[in-house]
This record gives sequence, structure tokens and C-alpha cells, in this order.
Amino acid sequence: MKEKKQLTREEKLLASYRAKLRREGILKACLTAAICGFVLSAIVSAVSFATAFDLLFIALGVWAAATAGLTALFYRFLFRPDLSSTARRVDGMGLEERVVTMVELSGREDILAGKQRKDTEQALSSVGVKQMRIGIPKVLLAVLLFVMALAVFMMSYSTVLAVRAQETENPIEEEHTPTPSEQEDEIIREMIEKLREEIDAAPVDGTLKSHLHQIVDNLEASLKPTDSLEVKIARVSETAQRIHKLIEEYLSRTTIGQELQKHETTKSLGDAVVTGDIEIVKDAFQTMYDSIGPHVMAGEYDILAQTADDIEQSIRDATIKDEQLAEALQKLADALRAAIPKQPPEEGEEEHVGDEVMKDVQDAFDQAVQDMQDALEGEKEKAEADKNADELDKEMQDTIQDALDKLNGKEQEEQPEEPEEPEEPEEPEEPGEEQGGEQGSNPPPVDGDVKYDSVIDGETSYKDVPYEEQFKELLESDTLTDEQRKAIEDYLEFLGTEKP
Amino acid sequence: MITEQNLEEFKTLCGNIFTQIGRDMIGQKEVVEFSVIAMIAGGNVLLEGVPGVGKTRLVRTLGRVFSLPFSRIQFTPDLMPADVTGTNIIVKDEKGNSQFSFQKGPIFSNIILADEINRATPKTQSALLEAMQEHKVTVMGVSRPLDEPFFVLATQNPIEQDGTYPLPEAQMDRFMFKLIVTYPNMEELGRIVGMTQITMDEVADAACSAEELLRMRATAKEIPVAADVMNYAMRLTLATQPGSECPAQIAKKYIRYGASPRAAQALISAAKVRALMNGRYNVSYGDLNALACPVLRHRIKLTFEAVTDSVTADDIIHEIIAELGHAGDTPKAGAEAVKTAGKEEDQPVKRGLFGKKK
Repeated sequence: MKEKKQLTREEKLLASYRAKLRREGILKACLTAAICGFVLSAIVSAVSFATAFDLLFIALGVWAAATAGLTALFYRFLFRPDLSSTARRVDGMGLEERVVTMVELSGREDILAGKQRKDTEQALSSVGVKQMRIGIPKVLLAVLLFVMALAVFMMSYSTVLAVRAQETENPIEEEHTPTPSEQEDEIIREMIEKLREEIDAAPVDGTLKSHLHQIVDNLEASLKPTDSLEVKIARVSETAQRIHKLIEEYLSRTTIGQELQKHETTKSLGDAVVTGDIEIVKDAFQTMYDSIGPHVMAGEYDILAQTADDIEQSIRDATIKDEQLAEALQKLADALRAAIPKQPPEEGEEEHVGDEVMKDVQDAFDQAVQDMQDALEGEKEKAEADKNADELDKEMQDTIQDALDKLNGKEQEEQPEEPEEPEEPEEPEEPGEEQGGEQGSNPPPVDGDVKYDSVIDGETSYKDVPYEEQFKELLESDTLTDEQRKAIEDYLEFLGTEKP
Repeated sequence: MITEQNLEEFKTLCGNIFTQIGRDMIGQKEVVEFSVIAMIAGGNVLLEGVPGVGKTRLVRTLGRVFSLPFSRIQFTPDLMPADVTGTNIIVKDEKGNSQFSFQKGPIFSNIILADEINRATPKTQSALLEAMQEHKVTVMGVSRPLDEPFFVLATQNPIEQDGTYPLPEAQMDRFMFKLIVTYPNMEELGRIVGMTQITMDEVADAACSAEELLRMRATAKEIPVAADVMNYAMRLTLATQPGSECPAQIAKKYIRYGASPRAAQALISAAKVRALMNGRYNVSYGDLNALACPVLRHRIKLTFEAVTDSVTADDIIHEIIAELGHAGDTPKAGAEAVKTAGKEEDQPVKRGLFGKKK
């Protein structure tokens, strides 16, 4: 009991030093365990290297488990400071083995032991805990660094090899995550597609549609990848407004016939002209003649002037002018004015003058019918010619498309490895080249009716290859008809390219 | 059982002893200190030094200070053992009958000054063996104990080896310390000359009686030695033995025979005295390191390679201390010696007559 009490006194005397040594012991145990952990993880990595299995997480787990477990073991059995080891460390601060001796003399109560203890306590009072430094052997640190570097290298190297091996065995298709630039392009593409759909759905003729599609093509060609999304949207919106305006203008334009319909004196003529049927026009003139006759016979010649004015007004107001028809109507208006007597008829001569006037009117109408017949027939022939031209254009586009598909198919056969290139994720910074490849497989923008599904690549202009070169080759060949040749030449002219 | 009074007495007597010795001895503090340690610990001392450095004066002073009977034996080649131990002589008693009577030799004293001990023949030198170790003398089958305390303080001259007889190993081993008495420095020399101009006689007074010395010895023996320190003393001794379980690397190369168990005994005994003299109640590594050279230097037999490489016993001992990992506890002089010992290999190799490496 006494001995225990003395031991407690000595332990109490060295408690602060021992606590510090405990921390040192834990640190040493940690480092030593980490070394062992790294060695084990390196062994696991070596196994991973040999078997080509990705054991990175197992290696990390082994390291963590070994470090944690061995730290406790090492501290328990190797680095936990006991009273003797604490005494030795304290003596190392220049106490000349006083503390070790004191610990060994614990339990003795003779004078010499008492003297020795007192001497030791005095010496200890001159040495503070702060003077005792936590000492980590440099060799331990060096070994730790070396083993850690080795393990990290082996883990990373074996993991890379294992992943490559797995990829070789089971190639995984990478999910393409669109980049912000691609997302912007998609937005703009959708806007342009919508615009094209609007153009296709608009109740306008093919010429205007082609013109509108060309406007859209120019818009696409002018959009640069360096432009911000806001700028691109603004330009598309601006173009959309312009196209809407053109469509509205088209829809709001009127023909001479429609303008004639607006006036009371020429309404029946207008209805007839709108139909384009000369027989109906003849009937309309007859109707006009019948309606004018009573007025003229009554000496009211203003009806003729009014009719002539209305005809001229209609010619002026019409936004769609058929020159031949306008000329015929103008001649009619002039003839109607000429038919008006210069001087008012004397009394009793109204009937005679009226008959003469009506005769002139009849002549004018007949002449007008004759003139308008030519104009209406010319218009009809032109409409048929336009219709035939549209059909020819379409046929020409199909032919060009077939030719281009054929050419692209040959290129792909000559370069079979090219389709794999877009799958390479190493060069995401060159989207222009990838899209250029896609563009090469798409139909060329020959006409406004063609589907443009890969137009915004940010890099390739319509003026660039391969379309130009392919068109030039086509032009130099003998496979094209004259109409197809003309269409291609028109397209190259649109692009501003010199003809071969 | 040691008492407070014993400890106080030890302290007081030590102070007085060194004070009185200081009256006659100038310089040579280490030699004086180790000599006193040896006397308190009960060991014999071999003083080695050139003539005139105060060896004999030191011994005489010690005799005066310790107030003990003092005998001086001048060892010469024709000195016989009986001249040392004494002999039986035939004497006639009152009735006229002849009988042997033992005539004590000079060894029957407390302090023996064996001056120039290496000049006597081995036979005569051997006369001291029993006395030095067992503190008794056997003549014609009769053993006679010597008075306690008993010390042999021998001197020898390292030069002028012609006509000398090196001490046998058994004799050397019986000396606790071999102390090297060096030349005094200029200041010490001046003081020596000044002092001796007044008188050549020793003036030291007695400071310690035989009984007090024995009590001091008993007190010192009680000083505790920690197991680690004891273990270090054993390792220090065994490290000098090339064939031991833990020889030092340098011992394998330069030592033919290492120190005997007497060395370990001497180390511990002397270390206890030294610790108590320094006011400590425990033995430290420093005590052992400080005493290592005087205790071990005459107990190790060097190889021929050591001689050719000019490696001394002290160099080897310092190297052993450094190898054992307690060089930091060595007193300053010793530490410096260790440093110089480590540089021995950098010195130019000595060559023989024909330029061949020895």
C-alpha cells in the first residue's frame, strides 16, 4: 500500500512529461502505421497491376484500415510511454539519471532514497515540460515519404492501367454532355427552324419563299461563334421581323383587278379581271355598258369621267401590276375620256350625241377586251411557266442531292476511320471540325425549300469547301441538264463564287 | 545503514581533502580527483608520467592528508620480493634458541608508494599481486593481513624504457586507475615554482583519518545505481572485448584483449564515489564516461594494427562511448577527445622505411 502511494507520487511528479510523451507516442504510432498502410496499399496496387483490376478503393481502404488498426497496436505495444521510459526521456534533459534512479528507488524510505528523491525533485523543478521536445526520428519521416510516394504512384499507375484495360474490353459510349456553346447553337437552330417553318407555311408564292429562305441562309452564314447568345438571338429576331414584314407586304398587295373591285363603276370589271377569264370580262364590259348607257343617254357624261378616273386610280393603287393589263386599262380610260363630248349637246340633240358617245364607249370596250385578252393570256402562260419552273427546280434539287450523297458516300468509303473521330473526347475544343464533318454529309443549301439541319457550325461558311468544289466538279461534268446547270450557277452566283 | 550524518561527513571530508591537497598540489586536478576517488573506493592507482611532474609529491600529499602510514618503495632491478613483503629472519630469543621471526617489509603500511614500479623485475612486481588484491601478504605459508585501508600508488615513467620490465597484465588489472600525469601549463608551472621557492616540503594537514576514510567508503557503496546505468557499465566493459557478445566495432579492429570484470567493478565503485563527491545520490552515465579512460586504458591490450595506426587506448575508449550512444553525457574533455579520435583516420598513414604502408 505504501509502495503504491510512493509510486503514485512519482507518477504524479512525471505526469506532465508523460502526457507529452503519450502525444509523441501516438504520433510515432500514426506514422509507423501509415508506413505499414502504404506498404499494404502498394501491395494491393501491385496485385491490381498484375490482374488489371481496378482496386484503387480497396487499396485506399486497406491503407485506412491498416493505419487506424496498426496505430492502436503500435501505440499499445511499442510507443506507449511507461514510467521508466518517461524517466529516461526526462533524464535526457541533463538530469544525470536522477529520475531513473528515483523511479527505481520508489518504495524505499531510507535516508539515501529520500535524499535522492529530494535532489531529483529539485533538479526537475529547474527543467520545464516545454524543454522536452517531441522528437520524431528523421528516418521515420524519410521512410514515410518514400513509401507514400511509392504507394501513390503505384495506386495511380495501376488504376490507370486497369481502367484502360476495362475500356479496351468493354468500350463505354460516352454520354455527350452538350457544352454551353452547343446549347446556344441548339437554341439558335431551333429559332431558325421555326422561322423556316413559318416561311414554308406562309401563303406566299415559291419565289418569295425562296427569297425568304435565302435571307435565312444569309443569316445563318453571318452568325459567328464568337457572337454572344444575345447577339445571335437579336439578329435572328431582326431577320424574323423582316421576313414577317415581307410576308405581310405580300399578303397586303393587290392586283389591278382587286383595285377595280373597290370602285362602284368598275366593280364588275374588277370581278371579271380577278377571274382572268376573258369571257367573263366581256360580260363585265357588257354590264358596264348597260349601266353607263342610261346616264350617257341622259347627258350625264360624268359617269364616263368617273369610270376613267376609277380605272386609273385602280392602276395606280395596284401593287401587283400587270403592265399589259395596265396598259389596256389605261387605253380604256383614255378612250372613255375621249368619248366625252367637248361641248354639252344642244337641246334635242342629246339622244344623237348619246348614241355617238355610247358607240365610242362600245368601241373602247371592244378594244379593251381585245387588249385585255392578250394580257390575260400572257399572264396565264406566265403562271404555267412559273409552275413548270418550280417543278424543274425541285427535280434539279433532288438530282443534286443524289449526286452529293453519292460523292459523300465515296469519301466515306475512302476514309472509313473518320466516323470514329468525333467520338474522341480529347479534342472538345475543336467543335468546328466535328461539325464540319457533319456538314459534309448534309445536303447542300441549294434552295430555300431544302432542309438545313446543320448550318450553324460556327466555323464553316457556305462559301467554303466542300460544296463549292463539288458543285464545280458537277458543272465540269456532263451529267447535268441545262436547267440543273443553271440552278447551280445561280447558287454559285448567290455565294459570290466564280464559275469554273 | 547510512545516515544523514554519514552523508554530511562525506561532503565535509571531501571538501577538506581537496582543500588540503590543493595546498601542495598545483594543477593536475583530474589526477588528484581520481586519486582521491580511488582511495575512497579502495582502489590502487598507477600514475604514469615523465619525471618531475609531481607524481611522488602527490602520493606523499595523499599520505599526509589521509593521515595514514606511508611507505615508499623505490623499485629497482635488484629489488627483491622480500624487500617488499618482508621476510623471516632467524633470531635468538632470550633463551638463546634460534627461531624465525617475520620482519615486515614496507608493504605493511596503509599507503604504499611504488615508485618507478616498472624498473623492478617481474618477480618483484609479483610480490605486490596478493597485497593489492587481497590486502594480505603470504610469506613462507603464513598469510598476514595488511592494515586497512591499504593502497598502492605506483608510478612509472613512460620514457626511458631501457632496463624496465613492463607490468604484467595481472598486475595492471589490479590497479583501479591508470592516471596520466601531464606537464603543467604555464600558469601552473609559475605557481609551482613560486611555491617551491618557499619550501619543498609538503604542508598539507591531515584531513581524514583511516576510520573516516572507511566510513566514506561505506557511505559511497550505498549510492544507488539505476539498472540502465549498471547495464551501461557492463556494456562499456564488454564493448572492449572483441570476443564478447556486444563488442564495439573499433574493438574488433584494434583490441586484442579487453577489460576484465575488475574493470566493471572498478567503474561502478569509482562512479559511486564520484557521484557523491559531486553532490549526487545516484550514478550517472557521465560518471562512467568520465571514469572510463582511467579505468579501462590499462586493461585493454591493443593489436599491432592499433600501434601502427597510432591509435591509443583512450581513442578507442572514446570511440566506444560514442558508439554506445551516451557520448553526450561525457564530460567536456572527454567529448573533445572523442572528436579527435574520430579524425584519426583522416591523418596521413605512417609509412615504413621503404615507403610501404605499415
